[in-house]
Amino acid sequence: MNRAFDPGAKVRIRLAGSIFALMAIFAVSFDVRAQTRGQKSDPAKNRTAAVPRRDLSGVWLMQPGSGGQGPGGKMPAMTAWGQSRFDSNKPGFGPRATPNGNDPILQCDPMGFPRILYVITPFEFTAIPGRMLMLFEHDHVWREIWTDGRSLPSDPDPTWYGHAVGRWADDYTFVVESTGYDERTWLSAEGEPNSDALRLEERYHRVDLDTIEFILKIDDPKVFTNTWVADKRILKRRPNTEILASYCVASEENSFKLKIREPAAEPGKNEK
Amino acid sequence: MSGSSVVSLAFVQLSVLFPVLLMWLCGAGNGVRFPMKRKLASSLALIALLFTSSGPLVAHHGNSAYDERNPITLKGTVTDFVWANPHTQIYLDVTNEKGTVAHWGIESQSPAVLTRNGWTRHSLNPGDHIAITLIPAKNGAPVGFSGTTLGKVVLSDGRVLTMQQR
Repeated sequence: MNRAFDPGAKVRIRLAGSIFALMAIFAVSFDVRAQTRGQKSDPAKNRTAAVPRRDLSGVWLMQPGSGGQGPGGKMPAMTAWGQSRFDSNKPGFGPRATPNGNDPILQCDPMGFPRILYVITPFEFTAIPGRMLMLFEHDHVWREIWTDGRSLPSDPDPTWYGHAVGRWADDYTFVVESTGYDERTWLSAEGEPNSDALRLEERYHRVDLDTIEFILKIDDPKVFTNTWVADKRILKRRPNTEILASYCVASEENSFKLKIREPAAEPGKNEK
Repeated sequence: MSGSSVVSLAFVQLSVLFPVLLMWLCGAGNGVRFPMKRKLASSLALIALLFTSSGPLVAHHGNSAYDERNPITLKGTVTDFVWANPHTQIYLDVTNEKGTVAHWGIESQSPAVLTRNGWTRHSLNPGDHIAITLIPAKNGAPVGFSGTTLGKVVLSDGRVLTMQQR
């Protein structure tokens, strides 16, 4: 301790404490406000409630994280082919954002997996015999994860949402492996590409009634030189929430593009 | 700019400035060694930064065309409310102090998001007088996006419509 160099330190620290307390009040008030909008849930009670065994059913919402609308974490170096694809992708999000890019979703092409999981829009897990279903509000699409013991296909024809199999690693951890993805999708809103060699491993670990910890591993030897381990993300249960029908309708998107998106993207005299 | 949007904007700016201010108050950067209290305060500042850095809600195609730093509030008359996917759209006539009318096109969130926030396709009708907070196009075109955490519509009877709940 060397306070002789900074006689105002004590005052500043006290002031800092007051400011932090003010921020904490702001944060808590926002959390309370979020909880009271259409959700009847008691987080404190649910943290101590029994965690359902081998059960992920319910509506969930990905929480904001460092990866934004994408996996986050340390992306491995790309192969030459991967880098070329990445360079040609012009996203609307992230550090390379451009107003009028070539994101496939601007044509209402399917968003694909895993990108759709990172859109902050609810989805529902529901189990039926032999399958776990993911029902996404965004684009109102569903993905099936086979749990009947089958293996992944060895040479699958690519699809927008892949071929997936799942198993319970323990009573609270559901592990999904998948392959057979269409290489026209992007891994995230920031334009990272994938190829038809993409393989994913998803781990959904239910830590309490309202919370799943989600970890994703991305292997794509045509695009990346190593495995991409995404940042852990949190899924929160949304009780009393129904999955609504949200689509990308090409005709409506085209009309919107002409009236708003393109005028907003045109260079202008007053551009800041 | 309306009083409410000024307040909202001030909160956003303070949210960003608070952690920086906190670090300064802790003596970071002035050559003073960090005692334990100061290390603790620095940690709290980092936590505060995490609290406030989740970022605004974004449009389907990203917000790069819009000036997120300078939201505005327009008062005008609704000419059309388009309940479309993936973007709802609000068209508005705005008359300036010289009597000139500008026709604005404003995108908002999807019908599903608006539904979750209590809207219906009848929430706005042609002829309604509203105040709408949005981020405008950087290029000066009369278009914008009302769907971030600041986005809202205030109706002439005082009711407020927001779109933050996902």
